[in-house]
Amino acid sequence: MNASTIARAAAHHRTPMISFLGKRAIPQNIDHTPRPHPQSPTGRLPSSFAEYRKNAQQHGPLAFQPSVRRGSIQPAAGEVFDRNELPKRFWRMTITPEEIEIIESGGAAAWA
Amino acid sequence: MLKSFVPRASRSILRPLASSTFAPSTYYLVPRRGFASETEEHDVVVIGGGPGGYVAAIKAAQEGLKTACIEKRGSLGGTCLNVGCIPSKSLLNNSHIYHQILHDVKNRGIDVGDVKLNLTQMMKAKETSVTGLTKGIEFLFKKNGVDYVKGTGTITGEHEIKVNLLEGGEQTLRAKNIIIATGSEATPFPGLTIDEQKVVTSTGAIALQEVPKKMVVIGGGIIGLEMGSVWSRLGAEVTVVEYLGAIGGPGMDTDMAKTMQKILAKQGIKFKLNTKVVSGEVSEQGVGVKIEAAKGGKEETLDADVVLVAIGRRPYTAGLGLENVGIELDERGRVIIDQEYRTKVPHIRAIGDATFGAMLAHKAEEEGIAAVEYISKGYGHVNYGAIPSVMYTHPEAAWVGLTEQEVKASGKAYNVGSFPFVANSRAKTNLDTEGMVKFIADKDTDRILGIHIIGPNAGEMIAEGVLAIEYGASSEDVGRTSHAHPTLSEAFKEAAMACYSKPIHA
Repeated sequence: MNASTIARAAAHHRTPMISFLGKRAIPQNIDHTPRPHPQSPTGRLPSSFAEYRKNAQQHGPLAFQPSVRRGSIQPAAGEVFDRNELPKRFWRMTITPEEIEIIESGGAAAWA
Repeated sequence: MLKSFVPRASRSILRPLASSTFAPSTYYLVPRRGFASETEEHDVVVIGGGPGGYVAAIKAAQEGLKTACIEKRGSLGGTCLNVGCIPSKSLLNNSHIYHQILHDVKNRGIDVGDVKLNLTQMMKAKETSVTGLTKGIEFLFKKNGVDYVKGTGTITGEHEIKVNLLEGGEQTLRAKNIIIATGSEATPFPGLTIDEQKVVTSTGAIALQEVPKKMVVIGGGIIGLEMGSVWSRLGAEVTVVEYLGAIGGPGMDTDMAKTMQKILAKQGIKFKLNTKVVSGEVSEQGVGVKIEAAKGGKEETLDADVVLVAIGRRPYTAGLGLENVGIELDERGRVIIDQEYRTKVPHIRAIGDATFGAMLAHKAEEEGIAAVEYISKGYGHVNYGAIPSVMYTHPEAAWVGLTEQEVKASGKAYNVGSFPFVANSRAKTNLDTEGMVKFIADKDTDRILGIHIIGPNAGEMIAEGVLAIEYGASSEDVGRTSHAHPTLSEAFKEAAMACYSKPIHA
């Protein structure tokens, strides 16, 4: 009797709007480009967000992306990198007068 | 690089500040070690140990990140646990029992003798709840390996936070990621100085030493109505002054706000809507509150022993050092963030009351988890369309999704179904029949757009509505789901049935 009840129910099955979504998984392609927060009253981001990202170099890539996806950084055959074309963190460091003073004094200037 | 120029003897004072993957390429002079101390680097440092902050900290630790949480109050849980949701719910629950014994149990066949209020004991019961819960979070921190730093944190660099320790001295923390979860504070009323004795915020309103004879509540939102209910039940004559034409704040459906006002008025709370407070004067005797019609009119003075200022809350970021790293606030003091809770400085995120959105503990908790998941997995989830609101008066009011006014304004065709608790068997047996459940669904698809409840345990019942909205359910999905008999939740099912068809019991 139970089996026939189930069969009858199946025949008149309605499709609920709620459906099983399966085990949750992180989407493959996520755009991490800054966009306004959904609760932002203005729906705008200040230009400083983009500005900061343009100039921020010392912390490495800002987008969440595994290094393997970013590809090789090797120059093509016959090409070389000019140091000044690289991000600032690869530039030669300028030694400040204070540092020169410390070096010349054997470190004593730091404690003077 | 600089090291090669430095004589061996002096190398110890010139070294990268921390050996990490994000360490800046510049070298710093390491300051002489004084009273301050520096700890090792953390993956995540959370500033603020409230519902957003402590949940974020525990989640981060669970994700395998080395985590610290800075809290200046000396106990975890923030406003919610210490001076907000939790202590007020203790008072709401116990004052309701007191009120029920005085006015209700006789009808239920229970004769009681002389009933007296012991306010000191009621406050102690409140403190016991608070202490138990705040200590519980400390335990969870230990269990999950979160470093708990007691003090005031100031961001001094993009990866550096200086903490003024409560026990004295300073500690500097370095962090790959910082989460700002500093919460909010009560918005003061211009011209009224908060002393937490006669002119109080919610913090003072949960700690009054005696029941005031007269209390004026400025602001008819959730906090004002909850605390007004507590003191009204304990014997105070409470008047709520609200600038707008309805109580409950902007999120409450107009039908529900009107019903709620009638119920609370029946309980003895007086309402002055469309009324503005012009000024207040504190004297030895109490506080004189001058009011007039919002559109202008004759001035009137309300005398009160205590005035509760409950006009809203504002983000709390004072002393956080945001200016040191150029993090911007909007015109209302909220930290500006993007869709992943990142500020302008991407590894500094902000969640909860300190930033956009409703100031609700459970919304902050969701954001805490999402912010951490963005750090650890690059993906997080908060559905702002499915954040419930609850007002813990009696009966409770709870809602999720859109109000009927919002749906109407959107121009979308919709159906409404409602069911009163007076027709619900369990509510009838409980002799607790005030209120109703209201469903709003899209006319074409039957997808639920909003659910609004006034009734006993509405705060628990709304969870089913939140789940339905999160899943994108239709009112028929809820109406065809079996609900146990006899329960209050049958009213929920019947309201859903009323939305797509007809209810059975009304």
